Amino acid sequence: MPSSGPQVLGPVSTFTVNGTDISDFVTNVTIEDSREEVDVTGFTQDTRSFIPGLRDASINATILQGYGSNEPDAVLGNLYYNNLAGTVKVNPDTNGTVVYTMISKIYSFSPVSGAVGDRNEIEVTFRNFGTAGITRGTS
Amino acid sequence: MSVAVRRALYGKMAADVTLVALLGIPATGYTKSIYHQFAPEGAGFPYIVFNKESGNPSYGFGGRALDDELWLIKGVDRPVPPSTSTDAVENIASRLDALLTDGAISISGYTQRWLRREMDVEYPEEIDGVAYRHAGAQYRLIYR
Repeated sequence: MPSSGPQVLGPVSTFTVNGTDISDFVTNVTIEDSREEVDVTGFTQDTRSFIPGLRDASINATILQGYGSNEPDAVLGNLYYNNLAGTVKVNPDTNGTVVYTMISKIYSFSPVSGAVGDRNEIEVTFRNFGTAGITRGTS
Repeated sequence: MSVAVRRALYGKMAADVTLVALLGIPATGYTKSIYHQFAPEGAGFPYIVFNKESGNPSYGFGGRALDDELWLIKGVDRPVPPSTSTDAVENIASRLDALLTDGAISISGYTQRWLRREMDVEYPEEIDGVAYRHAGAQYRLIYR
């Protein structure tokens, strides 16, 4: 892959849920992928030793609400209210080559957030549901 | 976006007969005593001036999400001495509030999301010994 230089999340970054592009509504994304650190230090050791344990993954997004059929309320509500898994894809780079993918579910949903005159902006956490966690792919 | 918004606001104000009835005789070449940024020479009092004070676009990943603008819209009067009355500009300010707060404006190519009076503006001004009165408000307009 050619060098793409330092990145800015912006017009060519995309965020899709089950193939529906809601990038216009997404204002902030954080992908979290972690492994437990399992302490396997023996009694006789004087330095701690770890091995990787279970992975965990989530994608946190700040999203402006929209009420059209392909807009956040319908897309995300469909996952939450119907207890469905959705494939979330985040394509952050300007070359459009890197994509992070996770099959996920939403376990809490606040479809309206804000005071009078505020942007109706909601926080959504997509939790890992598949066995693969977050995968990083290139195209 | 200023042209479309400016025209939308002007259109809303100019179409309101109650508001227009509160205004003086327009300057030559103008049909209403409603002016953008400043009044031209010969403008009759009272009149309305309006201008954008700030604009704050917000973006989603895919592009522009919302435009959030603050417009100053106020009446200006020059009471004939010995009058020092502010009635004229206060009446204009009240009518502007009734007309614009939650009023629908038609912004070409865009969709209005919010229009409300946000902060009142009222002050006297003296220029070369002549007293002027100003009253109106800042209006927040959000559209996409």
